[in-house]
Amino acid sequence: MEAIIWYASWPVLIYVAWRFVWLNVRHVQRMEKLEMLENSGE
Amino acid sequence: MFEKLSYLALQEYWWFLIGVLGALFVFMTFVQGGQTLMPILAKKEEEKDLLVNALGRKWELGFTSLVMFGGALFAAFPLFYSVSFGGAYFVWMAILFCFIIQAVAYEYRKKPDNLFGERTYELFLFINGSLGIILIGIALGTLFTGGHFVVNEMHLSHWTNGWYGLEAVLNPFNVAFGFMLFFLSRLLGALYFIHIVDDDAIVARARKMVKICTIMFLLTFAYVAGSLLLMRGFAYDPATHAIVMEKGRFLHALLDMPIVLALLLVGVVSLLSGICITLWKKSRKGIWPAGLGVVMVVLSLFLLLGFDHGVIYPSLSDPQSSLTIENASGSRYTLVAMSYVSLMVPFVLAYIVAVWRAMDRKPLTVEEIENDPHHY
Repeated sequence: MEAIIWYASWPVLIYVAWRFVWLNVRHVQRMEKLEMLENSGE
Repeated sequence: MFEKLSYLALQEYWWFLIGVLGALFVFMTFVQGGQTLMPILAKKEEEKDLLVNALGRKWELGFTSLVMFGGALFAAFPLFYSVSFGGAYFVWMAILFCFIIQAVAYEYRKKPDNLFGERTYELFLFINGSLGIILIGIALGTLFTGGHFVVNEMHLSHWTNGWYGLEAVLNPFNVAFGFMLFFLSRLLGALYFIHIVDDDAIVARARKMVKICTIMFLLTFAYVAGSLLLMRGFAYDPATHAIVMEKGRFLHALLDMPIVLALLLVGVVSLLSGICITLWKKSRKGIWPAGLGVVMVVLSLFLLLGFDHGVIYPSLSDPQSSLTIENASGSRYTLVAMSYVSLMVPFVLAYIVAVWRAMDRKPLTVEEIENDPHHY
């Protein structure tokens, strides 16, 4: 049972890591776009 | 979670992670290989700038993986670190200097009022790509052939001759290992240029270099693989921890571990497929199957060394001083604590992938480099 948890936890961890980074990168892109729009409106 | 794992399982987990870092570093040596190809592939000054910048965007990743590889060894297998880095001192210092000049070259090559001139820094890049990689290959070769050290019961070690590791160049296997790594790095460098550079003349020259480097790599690889399967290797008795010498040790270990054997064979096929699609299908994506294959092959070599009661650093002066993952590791507490930290590894790798994709979104052109005020 412990071995199953150990081996199953790695794909989950890799997925969570990838999802976290993807959301983070998308957030940065949105902020950059927002900044660009603000600058063009000035 | 990690507290419940046995001490041996923790040691194997950490040897696996070190193998992954070592494998990623060997893949990243395409930067060094590319540096040695620059004089051949670039005929004009702007072409040279293009190649330097194609590599300049990635060189820190190779450097970081080398530092992480050394750092993980220091933390997880401190006795191995102290014996190898303290004993084979001259070899490691030579490697260190070869990598210092790489960092300096990328940062100062295009600086205004450059005292030494661009040519000096280009020579630095060539030395890093050739001597640096050959020496690293020789140092890795000694993990199979051994070093002249003794370790006492207080875990104090010393080298038994005055050459402090330089004697490794007298062993043909180590030298062949060094040159194999050198030709592999050049092969990967040429595949990387084909992938990233949008310049037909450079890509055509790089394809020619893929052919030459493949032949040279396969010749040295055949010698190293043949020697590895036939050579005498060291192993330890799990009950008594006594070191024994065994003929065909690595062949037996491969047969004992079918998953490692499969990893090795799939890795070789993947590497060859990357070369084939580049040469015959004119694909620009050959670096990816080739790179994945390199990571798999190098990882399998690390697992071959450390698992199945293997010796990770044999002593030629006193075989009983040889290092294994069991006798060279940090304490159980250290390994458990670090294992929790290792859960962050996928996050770091995911950021590297995200940055890499952002940098490689479109192939590099001469115009882009000329218009970039921050280029290398």
